[in-house]
Amino acid sequence: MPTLARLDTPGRVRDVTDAARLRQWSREQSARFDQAVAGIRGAGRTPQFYNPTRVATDPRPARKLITWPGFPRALLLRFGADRTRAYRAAERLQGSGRDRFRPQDEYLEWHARRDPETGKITRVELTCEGPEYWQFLARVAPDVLLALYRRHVSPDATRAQLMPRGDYNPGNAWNTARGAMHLTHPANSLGAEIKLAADATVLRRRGDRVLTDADELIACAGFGERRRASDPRIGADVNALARDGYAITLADPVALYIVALETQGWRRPDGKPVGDYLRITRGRPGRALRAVYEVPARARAGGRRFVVGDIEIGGRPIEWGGQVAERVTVGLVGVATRKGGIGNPAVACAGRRGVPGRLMPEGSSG
Amino acid sequence: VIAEPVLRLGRIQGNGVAGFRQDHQAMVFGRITRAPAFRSWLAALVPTIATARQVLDHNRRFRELREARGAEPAELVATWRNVAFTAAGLRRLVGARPVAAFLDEAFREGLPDRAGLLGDPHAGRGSPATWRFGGTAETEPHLVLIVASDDAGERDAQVERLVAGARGWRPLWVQPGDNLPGALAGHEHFGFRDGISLPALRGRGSRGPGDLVSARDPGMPPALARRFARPGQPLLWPGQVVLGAPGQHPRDPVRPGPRRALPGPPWSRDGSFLVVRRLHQDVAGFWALARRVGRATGRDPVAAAARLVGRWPGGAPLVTSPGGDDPSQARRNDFTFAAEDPAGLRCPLSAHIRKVNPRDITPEQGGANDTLTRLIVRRGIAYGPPAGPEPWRVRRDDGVERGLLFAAYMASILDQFEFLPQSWTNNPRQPEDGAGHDPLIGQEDRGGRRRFIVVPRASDGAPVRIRIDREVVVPTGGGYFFAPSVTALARVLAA
Repeated sequence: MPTLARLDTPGRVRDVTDAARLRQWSREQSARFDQAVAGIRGAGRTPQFYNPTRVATDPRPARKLITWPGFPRALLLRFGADRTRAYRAAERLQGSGRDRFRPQDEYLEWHARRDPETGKITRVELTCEGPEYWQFLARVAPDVLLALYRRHVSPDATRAQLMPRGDYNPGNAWNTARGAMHLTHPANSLGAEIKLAADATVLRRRGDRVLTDADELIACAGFGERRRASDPRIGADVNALARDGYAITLADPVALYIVALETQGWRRPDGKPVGDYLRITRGRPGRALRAVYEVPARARAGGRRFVVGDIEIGGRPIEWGGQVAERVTVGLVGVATRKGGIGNPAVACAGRRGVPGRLMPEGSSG
Repeated sequence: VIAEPVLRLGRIQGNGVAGFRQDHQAMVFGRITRAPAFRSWLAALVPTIATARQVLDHNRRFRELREARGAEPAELVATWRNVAFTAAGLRRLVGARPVAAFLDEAFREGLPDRAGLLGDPHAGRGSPATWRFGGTAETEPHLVLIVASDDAGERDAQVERLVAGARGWRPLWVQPGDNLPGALAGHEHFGFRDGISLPALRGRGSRGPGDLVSARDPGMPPALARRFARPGQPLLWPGQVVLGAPGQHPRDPVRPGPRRALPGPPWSRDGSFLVVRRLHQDVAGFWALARRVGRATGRDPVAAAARLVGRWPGGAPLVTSPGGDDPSQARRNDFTFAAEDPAGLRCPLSAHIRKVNPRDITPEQGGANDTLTRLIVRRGIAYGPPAGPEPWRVRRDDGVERGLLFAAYMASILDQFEFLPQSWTNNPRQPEDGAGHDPLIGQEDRGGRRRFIVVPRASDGAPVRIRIDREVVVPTGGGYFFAPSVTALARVLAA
C-alpha cells in the first residue's frame, strides 16, 4: 500500500459526493495527523506515528481492532454496585448552550426516547460519530446536515435550531435533550482519537523499566483519562505495537465504531430471547457509526406489541439507555507497519511517581 | 509496610475468608415454610456456625503440623457448618425493604432471572427449567447449609441430623461433594488439578504478630511481598469478599480503594455474597473435544486438552512448561501472559485460565489492576464419582451425574462473578481480540450455541480456528446467596 491518496469520511458515508468536498475533508483530517505528529516531534522525539497520506504503509500491514464497552467506566467506579445511579447520571446533561454535552465519555453516546404517557423507553439512539464531521457538513453542506437530522433524529428539526445565525450549534436540542446525532462530550472527538493514538506510540520508562501496564502508561504519559475504559486500553494496545518497533497509524477512514451489541439473556415480555432489534442506520455491521435499538413494529409477544422498556435484562426492565450502552462494544482500528523498523528509546516519566501499578515486574519470580 | 485492616473474624462466617479445606462437604438447599419456626431453628443453629476465626486457626495449625511432619496430621479432624440465604429467603425472614437495600441487583433478582445473562440455554438441556434446583421461582432455594468434614461419615451424620431436625424449612436438594479419590485427589473430573490459582486476602485477625488472614512466603523480595502472598498469588483487599471492609483499588494494588457506603442493609456488614453453580461435566465429551483439537493442531489428546485449560493435567502452566507436564511445577502460579506469551503461542488466548484471569493483560475495563477487582474466592468441590481412574481414556458417557459444585465468595455478584462470563468467557473479543470463547465454561445462547476457540498449530504456531458445538459443562442447579455475619444471623435473622 503506497501513501493514501486521501482520507475518507467516517464509515465511508457519502452524505456529500463531490470530489472537492471529499478532498477538503481529507485535508482537514490530514492536518489533525500532522498536528499529532508535530506534537511528538516538538518534544524532541522521533515520531513512531505517521500520517498515512504522507508516509507509505506496507502492502500487508498488521491491523488491530481495539475495543472497549460503551458505558462510562468512570461512572461505574463512582457508583459501585448502584447501577441505577450510574445510569441516571449518564443521562444528565452537563454544560450549557453550545457547550452542552452528555457525560458519556467512552466514544459512544446515546439518547433514550420515552413514551410520554407510559414513560417506557421506545428507542435508544446510539452514535459514535465525531463532532468534526458534523461541523464540516455545516460548513460545506448545511442542507445535507439538516436533512440528516430530520431523517435520523426528528422531522421537526429546523435550520434555526441547528444553525442559529448560520453557525452550527452542536449543543442543539436535537443533539442533546431530544436526540443524539453525534458525539458531544469534549473528549469524544476524532481529533482526540488521533492525538491519543499518536501520544501512546511514545515508549515510557520508570527508571530502567520500560512500562507496559495500561495504568502505569497513562499515569506516566497523561495521554487520556485513566478512569475511562477506552483511553487506557487504546494507549496500552498502541504502545505494545510501538514496543515492537512498528510505525503506527489509524486505519482509513478514521472513525470510532459500534462493533457489536451483546443481548444474550435479554428477554421479551413472554420470556423468550429478544430478536436482533439493533438497526444500523449509518455504517455497516461490525463498523456502525450510528444504530437504533427499537423493537420492530411487527414484533409480538403473546400476541401483543411491546417496546424496549418491556424487555428485561436479568429480571430488570430496560429503564435507562445506559443498560443498552453497557452491552455495546465500541472500537477503532489501528494499523502497524514495518515491524522492528523503529528503535526509539523509552522516555522517562516525569513528575510524581505515578501509580505503582504493574501486576508483576518483568524477570521477577512473583 | 502496608497497614492491613483487622477483620472481625469472630463474626465472619468461615468458608469465605478462611475456607473449608475438608475433603467431604455437602450443601443442603432448602425452602423456608414458616418464618417464625425457622427463626427459632436458626437461633439454635447459630452457635454451631463456624467462624472465620475458628477455621483460620484450624487451617493454620493443620499447615504447621503438615510442614513439621511432612505428612497430613490425620488426627486433626474438623466438621464445619455455614449458612447463606437467597434474596427470596431473606424476604421471607425480614421482609422486602431490607432486601431492597442490597445494591447488587444480581443478588436481588436471583439466579433464575440472571441465568440467561450467563449464557445458560434458554431451552432444552442445561436450561434453568431442567435444573435439579434453583432454575425457577418454584425451585429456587431460600437457604443453603454447608457442612464440611474431614470424615465422610461425620459429614453424612450431620446432614442427616440437620435435615431430620428441620423446623420451619424443608430440604429441596442435598448435594454431597467429595475430593476425588486416589490419584485424582485435588483434581476435577476432566482430570486437571484444580484450585491452584486462588487469590489471598489481606487483613489481620488481631494486632498480634503473625495473625494474618493469609500466610505469606517469607522468601519473597520486599517489593513483591507488598503485592503477593507467595509467588503468583496476588493479595486482595478484604473488601473484595467481605462487605464493609476496605476494598481493592481499580488502579493500585497496594492501597485500598475508595471508601464506600455499605452496599446493603446495616446488618450486611461482615457478610459475603456466595454464588453456587452445580455444573455437570461431560468427561467423554471433553476428551472427544480434546482429540478433535489434537487432530486439528497436530497434538496428542492430553497436549490438546492442556491447550483448552491452560495447564497440564498435573497443574504445570503452559506458559512456563509448554513442552509437557512437569510435576515440579504442579502448583506453579508465578507466570504472566502479556509479558511472557503475548501472542498465545504457548497458552492459547482462549484457554480457560487465560480467559477467567488474564493476569497482566490489559483488559477492556482499565489496566491489569482492574482484573484484580474481578477476582473471586472459589470454594468449590467435585461431586459424583470419577468417570474412570484416567479420565483421558473415557470414551463413552455413562450417564452418571458428576461435576463441580462451584462455590465462590465475593462482595459483588454484578461486578465480579457475572462480569466473568458476560465480559470474558462468553465474549470472543475479550479480554484479547480474537480470543474466541472459553472452551470449558464459555456459552453462546444463540446460533445453535456455536462457539469457537483459536489454538496454535504444533508445527508452526499458525492459529487454527476450531468450532465447538457441544457443551462439556452443563449447568444443573445453583443460586445467588448472601452469607451474613454470625452477629446478623443471631440478632436479625433469628430474632
